[in-house]
Amino acid sequence: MPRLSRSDWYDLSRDTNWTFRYVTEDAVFPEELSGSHRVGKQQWLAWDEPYKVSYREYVHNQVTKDTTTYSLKNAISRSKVFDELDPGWKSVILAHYGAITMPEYLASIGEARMARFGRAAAWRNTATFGALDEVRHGQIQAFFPYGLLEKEPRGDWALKAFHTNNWIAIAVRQLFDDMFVANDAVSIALQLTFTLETGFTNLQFLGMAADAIDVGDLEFGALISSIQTDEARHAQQGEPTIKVLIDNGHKAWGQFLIDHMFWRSWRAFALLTGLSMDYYTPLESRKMSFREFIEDWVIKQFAEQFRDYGLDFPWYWDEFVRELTWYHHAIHTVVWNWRPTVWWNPDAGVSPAEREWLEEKYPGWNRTFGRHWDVITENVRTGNIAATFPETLPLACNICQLPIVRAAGVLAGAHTDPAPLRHVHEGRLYLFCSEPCKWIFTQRPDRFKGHKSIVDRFLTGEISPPDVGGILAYMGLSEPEQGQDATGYAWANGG
Amino acid sequence: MATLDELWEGDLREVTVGAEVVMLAHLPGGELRAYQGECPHSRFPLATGDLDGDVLTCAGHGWEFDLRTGQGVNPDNCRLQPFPIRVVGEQISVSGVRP
Repeated sequence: MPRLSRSDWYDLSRDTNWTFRYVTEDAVFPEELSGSHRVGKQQWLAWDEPYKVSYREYVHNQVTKDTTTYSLKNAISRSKVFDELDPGWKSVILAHYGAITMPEYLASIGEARMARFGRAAAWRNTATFGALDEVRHGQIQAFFPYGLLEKEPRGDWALKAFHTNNWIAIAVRQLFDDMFVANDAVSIALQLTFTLETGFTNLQFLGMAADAIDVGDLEFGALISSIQTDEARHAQQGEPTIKVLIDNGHKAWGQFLIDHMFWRSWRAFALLTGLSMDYYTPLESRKMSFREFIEDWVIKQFAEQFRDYGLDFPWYWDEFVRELTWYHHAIHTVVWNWRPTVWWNPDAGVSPAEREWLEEKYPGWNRTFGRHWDVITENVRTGNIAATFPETLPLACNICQLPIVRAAGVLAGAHTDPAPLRHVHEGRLYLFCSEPCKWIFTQRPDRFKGHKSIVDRFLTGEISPPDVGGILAYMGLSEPEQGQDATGYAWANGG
Repeated sequence: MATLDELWEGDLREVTVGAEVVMLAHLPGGELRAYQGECPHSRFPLATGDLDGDVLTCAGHGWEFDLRTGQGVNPDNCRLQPFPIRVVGEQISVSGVRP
């Protein structure tokens, strides 16, 4: 058989478009699911993915990756590698599995929606591989923590978290429903593959894989690298989709979708990666601070990319850049205080050496956040652990679902008023942590108005009894599952 | 930088020239090339890739480049930055100045 080079047959085999005779174009691609009607059918044919792969090559590559990664896991699971990991790092991977495994599986729905309702055959082809990728990521990230169960029973939160009303699960579920489960193909390409994957997770996975190897967690490092190689490929769907929108005069719509999801991605990232990088990862393995990481990878590289397309920085760019100095520190404090409500052991990460690092990376940290930790440290040293737990729920934002921490923003000089932002829609009061979260709601209130934050549920009597015990039960946390300080307060005693 | 004895035909090698990380390649047939050491896609070290004929496949995500020209093969909308290379006797030297 003659060997043809890919370029000789690829386009022909990929572009399986046909003319509908029995149904209308609208019936095949309903706007609610496709989101493509701003641009004409012919114009969508310009959609071209930069990196090409055939099904045969895809399967070959995936089998190789799976074989390598699963073999490594089998070899390591018989060793003592996990037992010897730093307690903060164990929290990094437990938090990751609980928050990420099911969303990866759900992302296969998003990819499948593009594979069915994307308007170009090339796009549907690329998305088909994406759907297969995400099924794989759901499965592999359920299987790896399953192997940890004997040593860490909360590995089962990889599967469990999304089936509970844990506050972090509520936040992550609401975000991903917005981003891909309940979204149209064009919006998914811009919001999931371009904004979240190209902008944030693809980079995060590169960084996390390097950190994992550095702390000696070869199993997690291999897993994350293996996932990242798929993500780098299917994330490229955003680029040609934006190009088609812009070339056909719909830059404003593309900009809106990106502005909407960039902020939401930042919020989720600050919670999951901010805490991991600046507080949970052992000091000796930290290569850069979370702020430096975002500045280098997101601001420099990703922002340059969307500037290349003629898109603008989101309108809230200055607020985003200012938040890099304080927002995740505030969220960390809340998560640590509310540690029984998470399925991992939050590492306070404020030993004298770590505080020195924080002050160096975030000048002024001691003055703003350090003084709270001074009080907490004093309580721990005097044996008054009870005083380190909160008594009431913090207010939650009706978009990002995270605690409203504007008071910390006031301390950091970013806000002047600690009060949440308010908005009344159809007689119901909604609270927001920031102008961008409020903007996201008010642009399309029908999309968000029916959702209840954890605090709304508490106030409307869904959580009973309405006390800390009731809240923990509502969140699906039995006592042994509740988070504790990762190091047994070693940091408070100089360690 | 390196000697021909250290870079056989078909070999790739990463070297540092001033502030630049550079990949040296000894192509089948004997020609030598020097390009940027990191993949333009996600900074993966290109010298860990696989050279088949003139085509280098990056070990990170399978991007392919024709090392005779530096042109991207898959995707074809990118190109590697070349660096001037000189061979005197057995000694290979590379200029860290982008032409």
